[in-house]
Amino acid sequence: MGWVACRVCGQLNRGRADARACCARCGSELRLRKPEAMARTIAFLAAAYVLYLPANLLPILETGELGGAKAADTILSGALKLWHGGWWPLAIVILIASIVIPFAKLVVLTWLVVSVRRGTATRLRGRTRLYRLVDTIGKWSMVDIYVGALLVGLVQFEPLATVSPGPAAIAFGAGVVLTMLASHSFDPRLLWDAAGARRG
Amino acid sequence: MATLARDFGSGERAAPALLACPECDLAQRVPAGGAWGAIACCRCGATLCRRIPHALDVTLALMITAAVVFAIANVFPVMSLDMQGRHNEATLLGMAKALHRAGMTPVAVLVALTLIVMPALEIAAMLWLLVPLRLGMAPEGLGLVSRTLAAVRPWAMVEVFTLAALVSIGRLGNLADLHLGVAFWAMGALMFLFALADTIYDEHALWERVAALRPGAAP
Repeated sequence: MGWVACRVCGQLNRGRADARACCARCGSELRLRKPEAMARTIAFLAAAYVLYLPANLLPILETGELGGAKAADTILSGALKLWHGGWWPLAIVILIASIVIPFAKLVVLTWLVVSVRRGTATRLRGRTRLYRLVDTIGKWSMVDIYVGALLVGLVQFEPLATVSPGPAAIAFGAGVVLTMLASHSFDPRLLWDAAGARRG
Repeated sequence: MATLARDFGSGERAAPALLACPECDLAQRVPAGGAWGAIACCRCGATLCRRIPHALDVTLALMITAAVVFAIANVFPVMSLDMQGRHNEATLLGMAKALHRAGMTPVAVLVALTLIVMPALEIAAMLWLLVPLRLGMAPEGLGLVSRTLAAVRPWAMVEVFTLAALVSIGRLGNLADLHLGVAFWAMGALMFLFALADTIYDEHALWERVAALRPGAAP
């Protein structure tokens, strides 16, 4: 016997957590914790790790100009081009959104998963805050996908100048979606559960 | 207070007595009354609920504005480019189409979903909930629409696109003659409208309002 909070409307429902029950107020399925939170988070994280290398090493944009000169840009070289063009604030934005944030998301979520498994009982507040931060900034990695989409949509002047997406676009887009899914499926309440179980 | 008769209710509503933190699950009593603002969990600091007067009225106004601005953002081009007498422009849907033509259909779908479908669903769901409530009726399919709204919200990325449009100016500015279109400004405005609505809207206020309309169904 206990209380279960509804994920959708916040209503506290009285009842057993293991029974399949629905929220008395909004009818959403009641669960004590997100279903299979650890397994899902680990699966999405593993897939995101696999895609991280091709996303950063393969070209994300291919530019063609009159005279046959074809150039391919990775995420990093695109940011460096902005830097050399004098747009260094934008270069920093791209470096943070496309390289630092995706990497930080992977590292932080991995750390959180490990700390739940170990039942770490220290810095709970800090780790919950870190989770909240990762969950919030996740979508900002999409910047590079949108920049690519705008360039591909705009620069179609055959044969003067064309821009087409490179293979990294798919890997990078999938990586962003997978890390977002990983952070959505993780349940920060597990951090507190694990610590509580250790304390006894 | 006759002028407020069809209002969503006065600002001085009683806060829900007992709430569980969505992030650390600590159940805690939220005091009634007090100043405006968000109430944070006393253990982990997550937002428990917000107490903002006329939150539903303000959110409805913001969402009606967002619907109009969103329509403008979809009709007009974001940017246009001139190169040696030739003119090219990109709309939101045009960007997705160009990616599809270039053989990147999954990325095209991702762009169309996050910039067109999800924001449209968010606006539609909010209006579906708030317009009937404003008129004093309980919305149809409350539970389903609330769940849809919760699922859709993280995937609407208007604010990220606004930043990407700024970066694109840097990438294209030295290359050719670049003009910002109406949708560029519309997406910028939409970013502020969504950000404001996100900080003002509180689902607890919504459900309290519904409970006040249906006294029999109140838990």
